[in-house]
Amino acid sequence: MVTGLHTSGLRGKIGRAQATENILGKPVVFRTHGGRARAIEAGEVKIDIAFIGASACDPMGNMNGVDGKSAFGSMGYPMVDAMYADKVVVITDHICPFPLSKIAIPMQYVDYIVEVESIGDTALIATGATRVTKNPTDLLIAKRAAEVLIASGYIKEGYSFQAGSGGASLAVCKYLKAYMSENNIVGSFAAGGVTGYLVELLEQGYFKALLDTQTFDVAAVDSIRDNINHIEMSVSMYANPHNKACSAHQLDVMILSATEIDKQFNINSLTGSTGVIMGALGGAPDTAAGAKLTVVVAPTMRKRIPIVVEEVTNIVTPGDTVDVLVTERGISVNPKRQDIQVMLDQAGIKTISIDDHLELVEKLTGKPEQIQYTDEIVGVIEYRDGTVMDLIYKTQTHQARRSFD
Amino acid sequence: MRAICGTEDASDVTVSVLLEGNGIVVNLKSKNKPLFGRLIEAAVKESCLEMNVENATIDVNDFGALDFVIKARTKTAIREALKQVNA
Repeated sequence: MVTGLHTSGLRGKIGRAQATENILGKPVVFRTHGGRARAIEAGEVKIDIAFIGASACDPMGNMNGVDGKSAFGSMGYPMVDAMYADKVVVITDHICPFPLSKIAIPMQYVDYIVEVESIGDTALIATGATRVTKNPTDLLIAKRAAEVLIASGYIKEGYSFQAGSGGASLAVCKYLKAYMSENNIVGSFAAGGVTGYLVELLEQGYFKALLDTQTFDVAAVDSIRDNINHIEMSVSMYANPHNKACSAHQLDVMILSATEIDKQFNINSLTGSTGVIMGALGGAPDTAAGAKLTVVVAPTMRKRIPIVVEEVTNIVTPGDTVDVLVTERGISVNPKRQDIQVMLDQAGIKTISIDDHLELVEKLTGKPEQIQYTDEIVGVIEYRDGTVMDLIYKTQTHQARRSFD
Repeated sequence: MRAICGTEDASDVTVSVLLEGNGIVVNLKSKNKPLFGRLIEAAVKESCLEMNVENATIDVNDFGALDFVIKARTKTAIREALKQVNA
């Protein structure tokens, strides 16, 4: 029986049930990718048993995610678990002779190996290569974001880049490519969840390396197995803020998406405007804190629900770490980044204040009604360093909302 | 006789108008009801006022439409319903 959850996010029925009914009877603890690694390594979270799926494993427990019929790519997340759990159980459908040639997690951490028929349906995990969005609004936003990046001066030889998942994020690369090849710019690394599109950029020489915690599609699985410059990294190496170094802190440019962004540039990517838990923290707070320039790309509204709002439902990524907002209706620079504002002004890029941005949106959507909450806490949002960033309260109006699903 | 206008696409709305009843009755179905229920209903009622309709039962099935879409769909549905009544 599950009595508690520590996670990056919650979606679907569980997220709804926890937000509206507190089914666990206690708060879910939400952590960033880096915060998760930090909490485990610092001993704040004790793992008694870790069950780890591996697509290939030798009889001593050396394992990877790139060989075998169920290859899925990077083992960035379980790497930390294996090192700190009391007992480690590997679940695999492909046992190879000792020693396995490519080792993601080594045998010294492994207690048991369980062989099963199949560890999962790869067709459902990954199909072909992730395509860049064809949605015209997303493409417009991506194009403008690329213009902002170029004008900001960060797109230069050796720069590093990461983009979150979501409509416009990945498409930004598409518009950077032309500028990079015209000016003979080669980036040092791109990171994050790796897709076939980033692999193309690596293979075409736009970036020298990829740092991969989670592999998103089959094209990227092939690449991480075969390309020495496609590097597997643990989630701790990715984003743990208490490490001596982590890749999130080496970023020049980070592109984020958002469920909500407010007048203070705070980002919410976890809860919906009706208070339901439907997203995740992911690596957004980690990369926003680490990157020299953090740009949010988002449409101003989705099905009337405004994304640019007065105040976010919950703060996931603090506005102090967010520099620019790009939507289909305009570009707003965080007043704390006057240096960026000056660069954009000099490049002739038109910007509007975040207050005007909000007004543009509210004129169309109208002001949403206030959702009523109880004083029952159903979620705790931890910042990457373990401090409490925000609390999620149980909603009061769930009866009305549920009957209209 | 009922007249219907709109589609079930995202950001659209279907409005079904029956020119019967006592006053304007709006039956709203929308995922956005907790956030925008009052505004959606107000847009429908405003459209009725502008079209001089005093008695109608209006079923609104909203998929995230903005007010100008809701009003356009409502007015077209009313116009169609009026045509049927006058035919």
